Amino acid sequence: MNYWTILEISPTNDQKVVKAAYSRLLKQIRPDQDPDGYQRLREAFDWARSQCKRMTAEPHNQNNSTVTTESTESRHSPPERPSPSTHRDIAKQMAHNLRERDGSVDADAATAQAVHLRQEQEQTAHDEASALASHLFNLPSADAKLAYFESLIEGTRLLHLKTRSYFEVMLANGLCSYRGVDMPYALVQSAATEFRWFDEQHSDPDKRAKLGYLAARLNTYRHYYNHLILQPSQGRGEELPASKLLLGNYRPRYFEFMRFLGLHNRPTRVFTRQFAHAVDSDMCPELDTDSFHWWRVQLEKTRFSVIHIVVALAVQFFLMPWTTSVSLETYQPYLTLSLWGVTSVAVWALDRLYHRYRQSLAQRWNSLKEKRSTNVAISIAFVLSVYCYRHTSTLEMQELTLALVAFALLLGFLRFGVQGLLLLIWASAIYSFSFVLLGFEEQNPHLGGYALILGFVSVNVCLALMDYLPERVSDFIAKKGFTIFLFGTLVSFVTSFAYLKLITLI
Amino acid sequence: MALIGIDLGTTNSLVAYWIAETGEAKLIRNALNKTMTPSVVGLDDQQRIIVGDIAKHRLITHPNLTVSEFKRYMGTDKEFTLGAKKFRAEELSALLLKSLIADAQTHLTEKIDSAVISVPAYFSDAQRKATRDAGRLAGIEVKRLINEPTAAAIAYGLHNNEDDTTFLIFDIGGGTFDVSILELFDGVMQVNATAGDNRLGGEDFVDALLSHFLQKKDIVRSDLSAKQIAQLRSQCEQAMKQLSTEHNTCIEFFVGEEPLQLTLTRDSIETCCVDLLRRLRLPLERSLRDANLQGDDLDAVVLVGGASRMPAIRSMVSKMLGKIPQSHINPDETVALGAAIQAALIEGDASLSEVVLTDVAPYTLGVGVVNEQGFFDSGELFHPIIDRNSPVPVSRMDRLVTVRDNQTTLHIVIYQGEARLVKDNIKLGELSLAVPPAAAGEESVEIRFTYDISGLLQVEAEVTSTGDKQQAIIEGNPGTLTEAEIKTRLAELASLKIHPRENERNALLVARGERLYELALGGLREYIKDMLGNFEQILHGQNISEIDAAAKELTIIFDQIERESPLY
Repeated sequence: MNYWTILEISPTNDQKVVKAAYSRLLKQIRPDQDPDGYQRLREAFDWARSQCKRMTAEPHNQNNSTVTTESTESRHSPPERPSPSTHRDIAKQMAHNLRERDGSVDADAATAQAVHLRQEQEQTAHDEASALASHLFNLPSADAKLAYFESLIEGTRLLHLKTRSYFEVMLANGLCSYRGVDMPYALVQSAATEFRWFDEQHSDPDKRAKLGYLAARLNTYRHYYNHLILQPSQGRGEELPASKLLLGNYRPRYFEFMRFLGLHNRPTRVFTRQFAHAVDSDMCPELDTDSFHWWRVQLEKTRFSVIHIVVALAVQFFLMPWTTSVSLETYQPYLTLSLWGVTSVAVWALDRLYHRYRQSLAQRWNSLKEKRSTNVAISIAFVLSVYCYRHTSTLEMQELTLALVAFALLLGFLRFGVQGLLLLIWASAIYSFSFVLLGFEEQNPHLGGYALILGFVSVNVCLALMDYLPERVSDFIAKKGFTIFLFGTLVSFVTSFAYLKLITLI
Repeated sequence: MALIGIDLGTTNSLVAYWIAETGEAKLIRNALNKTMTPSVVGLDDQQRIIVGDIAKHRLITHPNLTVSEFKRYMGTDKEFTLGAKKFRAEELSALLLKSLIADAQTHLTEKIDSAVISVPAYFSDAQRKATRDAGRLAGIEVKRLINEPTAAAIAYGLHNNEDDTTFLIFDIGGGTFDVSILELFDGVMQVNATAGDNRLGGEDFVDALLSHFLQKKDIVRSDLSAKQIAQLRSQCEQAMKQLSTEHNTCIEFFVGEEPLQLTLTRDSIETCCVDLLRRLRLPLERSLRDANLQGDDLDAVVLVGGASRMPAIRSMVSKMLGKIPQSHINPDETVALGAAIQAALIEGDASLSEVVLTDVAPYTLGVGVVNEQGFFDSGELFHPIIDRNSPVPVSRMDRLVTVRDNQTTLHIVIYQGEARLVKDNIKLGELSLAVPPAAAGEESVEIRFTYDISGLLQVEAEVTSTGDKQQAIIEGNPGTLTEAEIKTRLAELASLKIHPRENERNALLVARGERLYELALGGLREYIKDMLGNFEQILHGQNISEIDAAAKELTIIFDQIERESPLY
């Protein structure tokens, strides 16, 4: 039996016909006398009604859209946005219009006016909400955002239910597409409590998907935060590989979180699918490596291991002349190895200690001390390599010096990427070229090596100097690869000429 | 047979009847010629039950022998102590109902054995059952429980000639708050959604004002006696009422000899009740969402209930909905009139056959299910069977399966509420069914929830493989009375002596005089004492004409005292 036959009418999309049929039948099938019959009838009625709404939605929308454009146009003419106090006037006028509707001569005009007023009211609410939301998102810190949000809830500007619902949607959208490291968790939680985002199941699938995404994102952040930042030293097994946080493997995390929310049940399968779809279809493009600053973390880590290798190497170099002088040549390789081991362990221990006491990724990345230590390491490496080169002329020592050079290259690459690497190669090429050009090669074969090292160091110093520049300037230089290239070349030329002049004078 | 509708309120109760001849509902006046009977029950000095205005006056003079606001404890096990006796909320309501019915019987000169009683739409199953039991304890059959906003809508709808309208009833009474969204078309009055708050009403606003006063004057609540609190509270109530018509008022209260004054304006009320006002929003939002409507889609907003007179609430509603609420109907009387109309509708009164009313279930009902995939052990999950705002009567079936191999019993716990976890919802009852051992998921139970038109729930479960049936015994749970308990309590109530109705007027005068005596000071106090002494002497003389004359005179004097200092 289909719903239309229950209603005893033929399929229609006229609400009035459906209502009339329902009311006629309801008077025969009374809810208190025939509960089962009523339940069937009511189901049929509700279904038929939603059907009517859907069928008539199309022409309605067109109608609405023309009105909207009209109202948007008219909205441009008054210079200022209607203030919230005019809500009441509009409402009053509307109520008045509606009341007059029956008695008025021109009922159509009144209705049109009411529709127009409604549009206007809607627009006012929308404007108000977007003003509040944009102000919220323009606030600099997470704390300020939270404080502002709380003041909004306490205050009267969000009283009007329409403004409130617009604001809610804007807030959810804004949070979903939030970029940056300082995701305002507290704000999300406060908003979720206020608007009961996660308590109730939402009927609007779009909203569900958005909120689900927001929840998952919040959760991913939290996991990321807990696993990678707070306990980085709890063994590799605990750390989330970055790929798991990223698009391909978002699912396990997502399902875990859905379970946490209890939304994995029967009615929310749709929800799950919607979420997957949303992410798959790139509706959430900001869920990428950049937003997690994954590379930065990896870089930080590599930098640490490089430092400890460099320091270990440096110690070894420093001790080398001593080991040769006490004529333990036969044991030298073993001694070197053991020294390498000891220093490695020591530096590793220092590294762990440091990990334990550091607070957060952002702080670590930004701390000047951090950057200094890198530069100090580079400088020590340079001084030592020069020292070694001066005091040894064996092939072995020269090889080791070259190894040091390779480390400097690697360091440059790790800190400044391919650009840094190219820069260093370019600088060394200039040096070799300038040597050949000036004919120093025949005079002192070692000079070339000196100059090479000096070249690397000078470029490194240039790069290190960038750390001390204001962030904005260094960012700019880093972005402009070509500029820094020229800059490096210039510095290399100047220093090499100065050095060579100095040598010849001596 | 008389068609009676009763509005059993937190603060005031009313009774109305249907006049078939004229086709309208009319309120019945009580022995004191008032339509509103305060919902206050007490004992007088002879241990007799007194109800209404007299008890209300004695609330200040004898706070230990009087009780009010018991409606808030319907469906709980709380017992109120009156002197040496203990009463449950149902029994107190029954006493109040008895008094209302006595009024109706005197007015209509016929026996009344059934009535329609209104309950807040957001009353739970236990609260509804308690109200039904109160009716039985009062010796009447409760023909139907009607939701208060729905009753108001009926009364409103009959006044309103416009067809095909959607309107919102905002019902805030003494202790409860309901929002209903209704649609009226072709003689069908259809409730589309209902939401509410069972713990929000005018009394809370009075309490907030009281706390505000205490805070401003640096008084600790526990320093005041019960009597003083009652006095102060009544002053706050008066001040609240005054602010509905005037822009400012003043509370004056004596602690010892020292008068404490506090000037109040409408704005100051708004600030001290801001938390309460904010609580109005959630039900409003939820009902609109459930009805799939925007504030603009409403043709009218109708305010019902005594507290809706408060300007703060009115302005809040208009701010939230962007609509000026209608107020041409009397917010106090509408519900009782609607209940009487409903009584006529049930009887199929000729003049009303054109209207059919359909209502919805206020809460989601369901059962607890095992959280199988639980990553965090958060407890059992709520599995809804009947969603909130489903049209009633409704009957729905679901199938529950075993979760472990060779499970022998299936324990079903029935809950009401909207929360995800059962521990946050209200437990209504439970039942256990034996199932034959089998692999997990093989054995199942079909459970059927039936919500009747009064909003009362019935649960039936049947084991699919054996056909073993069982009905949930929801009565056996805390907050509701069992059949046997009702019988014993019925007998107990019958043995209580009720204050005789005939000399109610005189008793009221004495009670009122006593209250004024306690509130007044100095010369006025002496004067009242003398007047009361005289009056009691005349009463003793039993000369009816003399008593009538003295009573009239005393009423005028008391009226004058109250007029001069309106806070009394």
